[in-house]
Amino acid sequence: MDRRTLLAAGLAAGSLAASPALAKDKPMSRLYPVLQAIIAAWHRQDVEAVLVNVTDDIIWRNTSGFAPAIRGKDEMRKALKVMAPRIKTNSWRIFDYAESADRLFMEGVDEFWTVDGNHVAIPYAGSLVFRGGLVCEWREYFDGRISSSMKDGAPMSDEVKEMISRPVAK
Amino acid sequence: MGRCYSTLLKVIETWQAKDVEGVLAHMHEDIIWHYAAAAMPPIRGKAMARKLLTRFQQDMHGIQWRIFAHAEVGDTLFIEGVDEYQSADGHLIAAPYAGVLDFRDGLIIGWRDYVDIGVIAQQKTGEPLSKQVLELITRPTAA
Repeated sequence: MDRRTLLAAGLAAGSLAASPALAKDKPMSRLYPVLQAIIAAWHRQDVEAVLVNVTDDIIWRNTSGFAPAIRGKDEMRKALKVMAPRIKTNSWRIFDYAESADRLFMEGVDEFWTVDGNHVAIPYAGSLVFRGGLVCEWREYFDGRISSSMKDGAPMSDEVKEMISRPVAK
Repeated sequence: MGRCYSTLLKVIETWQAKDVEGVLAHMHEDIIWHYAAAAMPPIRGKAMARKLLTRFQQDMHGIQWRIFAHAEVGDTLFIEGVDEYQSADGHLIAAPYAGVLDFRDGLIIGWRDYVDIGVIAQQKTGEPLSKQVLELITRPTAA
């Protein structure tokens, strides 16, 4: 049990309505700041500042098994450079997280507004595996149908609204 | 082993034995269960959870639910695993997923499983497991 777990132990966590992010006063972790740096870089659409936090041989699985993994920093750069120009405003955020040794688990939402005016919000959970302070494996799990339908202009469902109206983790 | 993960292992054991009441014994009366987070409306309350589990029980056979990695902080457990089973019409279903469980008084009160229903839909048509699904699920089970 690490320091963070010890400090958080015994604090109440509740349902989605009574979010655990509210109930825990989390000390800064070792791995979460790396994810925060990646998020800040992506908010600026600074692809290279994202990539500085990943290993050259990163394996990025960003579709829950629907599509093949993206392998290597060069392929990740290509994917991010395709994504970035399509996004006008980005509000990717994390609601809760935990870490164990070299792994960071996260729950959050990839929310953004596209340049053609669609509002997309994809609640997800995932894990990052670290090596030498860099992300070497990145796995994200979500329902791809939500992503594709909202990119086509579908309105946000009540379920998604409920899931993303939680406080951001510190 | 964390106490939240220890409870989850009991849930897995009882579910693989198709013991619906055994699973429910670990759920809070006020559970909010997103069994397909954001894709489907959540189940609210133990009575609704019983109905869902009973339906699942009829559709899932040879259940090989397993967890590859986990971490817990306070009363919240994060997991990464696969929900693998044979469907009622004999197709192999393997849904890689990540989940988050919130506990109160030792019972699960919030449960959010993030999974791609599109992956399951493909497998339910009889398609073999894709290379990327196999890569995700051929990992050692967590201790």
